[in-house]
Amino acid sequence: MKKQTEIRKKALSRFGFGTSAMKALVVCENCNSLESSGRIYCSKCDSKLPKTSLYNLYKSQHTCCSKCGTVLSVNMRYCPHCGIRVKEKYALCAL
Amino acid sequence: MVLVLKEKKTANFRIVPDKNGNRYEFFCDLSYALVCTTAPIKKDKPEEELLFAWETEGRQHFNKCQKCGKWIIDAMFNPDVFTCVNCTPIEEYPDYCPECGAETKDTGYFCHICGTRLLYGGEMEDEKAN
Repeated sequence: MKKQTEIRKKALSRFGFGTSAMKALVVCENCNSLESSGRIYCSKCDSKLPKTSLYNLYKSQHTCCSKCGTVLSVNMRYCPHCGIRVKEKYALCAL
Repeated sequence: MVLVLKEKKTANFRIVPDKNGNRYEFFCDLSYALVCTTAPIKKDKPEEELLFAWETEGRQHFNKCQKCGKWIIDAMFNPDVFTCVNCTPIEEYPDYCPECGAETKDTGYFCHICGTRLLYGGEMEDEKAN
């Protein structure tokens, strides 16, 4: 089952879906164009690109495990990655 | 549970006037990334022009969230449940049951201890509401 989901995850990332696609993309703060996260300057307006990728934006919108940083759904009692008990109330992930 | 979909015909956009008409720039509703800039379009009515721009050039770059109705790029879309990643986070097969904390045995969709469905936590919440 785990292997199947890994294969599916890899396939989806090839089509631009998933967390790996988010990590690979940055939005220019000046012209809003989508750029590769490896770039330092925007290819359209030459302004400096932020270091925070779409993945950071995604994490900032959700609650995360305090131990391993895994993004958690609202109804989770235990972290699905490291298994620690999730606190009832926890802060949003920092950027 | 009643799903209320906000009817949003197009993604966020900006009009850029051009000598041959208006260009439309469409933005992702979640990341605010500029996804598409159309060729100049000239129509009699502004609404007609916008919809033409959206249908011919803009729409193909976006996915619609089935929960909140936002138009988003592929990277911010959860294809497992057809929602944006804000409505349902992307999930991987868990090493521990999110409900009881037991280590999963990599056997299937359900926890071998408590019977909780192991994938799509965001959807489980909807089922409880039903």
